[in-house]
Amino acid sequence: MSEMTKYTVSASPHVRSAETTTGIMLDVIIALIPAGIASIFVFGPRALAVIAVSVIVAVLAEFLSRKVMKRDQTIGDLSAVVTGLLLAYNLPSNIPLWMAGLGSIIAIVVVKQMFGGIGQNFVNPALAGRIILMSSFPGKMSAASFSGANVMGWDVQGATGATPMGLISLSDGVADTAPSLMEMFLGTTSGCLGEVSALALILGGLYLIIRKVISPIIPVVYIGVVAIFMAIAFKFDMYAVAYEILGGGLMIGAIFMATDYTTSPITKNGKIIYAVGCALITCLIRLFGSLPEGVSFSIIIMNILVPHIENLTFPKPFGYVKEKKEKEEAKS
Amino acid sequence: MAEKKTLGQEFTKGLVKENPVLRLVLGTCPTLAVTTSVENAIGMGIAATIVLICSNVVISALRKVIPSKVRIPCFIVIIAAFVTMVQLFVKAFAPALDASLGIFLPLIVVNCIILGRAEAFASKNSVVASAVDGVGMGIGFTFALILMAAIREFFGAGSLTLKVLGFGTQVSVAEPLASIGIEPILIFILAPGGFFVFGLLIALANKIAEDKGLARAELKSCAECPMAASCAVKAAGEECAE
Amino acid sequence: MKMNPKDILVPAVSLFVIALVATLFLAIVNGVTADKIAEQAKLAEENARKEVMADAAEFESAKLSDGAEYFIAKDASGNTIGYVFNTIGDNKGYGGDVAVTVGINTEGVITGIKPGDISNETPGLGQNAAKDEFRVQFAGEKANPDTEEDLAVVKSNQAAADDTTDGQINALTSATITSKAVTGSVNKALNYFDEIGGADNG
Repeated sequence: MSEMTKYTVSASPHVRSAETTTGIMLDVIIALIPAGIASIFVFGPRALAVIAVSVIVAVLAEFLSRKVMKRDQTIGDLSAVVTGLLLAYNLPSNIPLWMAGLGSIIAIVVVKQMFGGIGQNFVNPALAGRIILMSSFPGKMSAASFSGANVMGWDVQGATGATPMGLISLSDGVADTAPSLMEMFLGTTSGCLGEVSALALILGGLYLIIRKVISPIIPVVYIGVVAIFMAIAFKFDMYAVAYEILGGGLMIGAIFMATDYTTSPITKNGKIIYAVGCALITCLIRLFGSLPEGVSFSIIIMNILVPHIENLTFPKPFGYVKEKKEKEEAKS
Repeated sequence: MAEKKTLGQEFTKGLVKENPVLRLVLGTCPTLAVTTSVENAIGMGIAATIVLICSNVVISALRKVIPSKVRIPCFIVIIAAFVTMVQLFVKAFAPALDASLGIFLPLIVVNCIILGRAEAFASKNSVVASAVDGVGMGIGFTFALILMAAIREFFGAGSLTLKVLGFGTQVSVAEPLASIGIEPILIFILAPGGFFVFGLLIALANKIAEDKGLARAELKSCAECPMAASCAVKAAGEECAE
Repeated sequence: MKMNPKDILVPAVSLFVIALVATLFLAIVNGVTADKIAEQAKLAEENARKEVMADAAEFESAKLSDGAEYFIAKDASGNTIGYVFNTIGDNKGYGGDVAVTVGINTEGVITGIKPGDISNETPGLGQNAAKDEFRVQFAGEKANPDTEEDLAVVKSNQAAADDTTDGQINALTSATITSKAVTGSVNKALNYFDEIGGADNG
């Protein structure tokens, strides 16, 4: 007598991938490490302090808020760590540590947990936290307080004073005191912790694309359209175009912030529309607005429009014929 | 509207149970705009309460005389007259208040609370009851304004301007805190902070109400809205956003 | 549809009577308060003038070529010690025009400024223009006679803030628009000063 083959009865899905939220978040953290190391090189140990405070407070905030709201703990999925890291990378190195902590609390508790936790936030929590900090403490978050005291004793040219985005304008072009393209590529300029080193960010981005965590559509389209817009605006002064691409929060925004799963469209066409929208708004704010940097606001605005974009680009089922045509056929 | 309330109950309902701002969600525009300092909140509260009481009394006294067809224009004329009188007195005797309230003083005319109470209560009840209702609602409004302004001004500017019509003091912790590196959180006195504090206060009021078994502050249908009879949105056949 | 004339007449007459009575009461209140209001406005203007030119004992009204009013400040013995202008520059503030009362002494040096109604500027940012820290930058500045340049607004420059004779004004944190509006109005006053003969006038 043969053994009874055991069959398992279950409902779909029957094909599962090995991906978990924790695994994906871990990949993102790994991808963000190069930028973190670069920031410590350029800005010194203070950068490490800001990053540490931001991450620890974010995890604590999620733990406590879930407890108070009587929901299960989600700190194991590491999304709070990612939010803390991204928020820190959007802050200047000499921001008072309590402000960084406050930003983490706002990002996790207000933007994420109050709306339902992971997957339910309507905008990117780290960006929303950054914008709220900007509105709450304009002095400490403004360009004037950026500094680049360096731990290695290297002479970091251009690391103090105005950030790169403050040194370029449509009317005057690139200022003489602006850092060189190589400096901006490597990251030895002033600015927020995570946004200065394009090299580190690109490395991280490639890692995420290879690991299939993000699709290259959003970063490529976003940066590409910005390049085209700036080329037209600056009358094909390619130096200025390269400056705009490497400077400000464009790299970190396009690779890490705009690609957040919850707040970006699922469909391919949706992603393209979303990225084009981000790019256009970024360029408009940078060139014609009174703010030097437009990436945060443009991503948040597009985040809010994502449900509508998804409605427009909803994939049509096979064999679907538009109702209008059916009615016309019925009439004739 | 079930049981007849006693005069005492008419007065207290405006304070908490049917607080116009936090429970009936009326008059949100001035609430968000003038709560950037406690002084402004007190000033607006007093001005609105005076107008509310006067208009409630007059409209109630004339309720049998005003024809139903033109009652809304009549109410508005009466309310506007009182608002203008209050504005003239403020300009003459407390110009600083006029400057800080700015356009929100004349905007009391379209404050939902006043038109809403006129329509829902004063036009159907006795003069005394209407006056008491006005006092209760007015005090409730002022109380909600002061609460919001205290929170917003304290966190957003580090101070509390406890002044009435220019008399009083300003308590400020901004400087001592600044010396240890703590700045005020500016966003609280800007528009986003206003919405945020407002949302939190309504959430708190709802929680208290639920614990007492009362309904939440949510307008579910036109039938429950005190503005239903005069609402342009309803006339157009749409649902109210509030 | 049958229209009963009474249906139209009664409501119309009622509304008319109510409006009439309301207007009557308003007219009475207006009559009672009009003088006081005008007095308050004048008082506010006088206080502003005294604030920008503390040494003056009295102010005499005069007119500029374009009809705008300005004031000649005189000390206790009747000597002219300066001029006070209330100007609105071409630069708009965040929420509209920003009028500024400017006191300039006979040598063309600003004695003080006071922004007018800045309730439309952003609280905590632009509204800090009324604070002493910002206003005190202007006292001591004058229009550069050599280059005819107006006062310029610079950002994040504490040195410009401390030096009150360098022709530069340090903008308020995150409130460059309001700072430029105030400076624009002050520059207009400096131009008016040149117009009335400036330092040559006794």
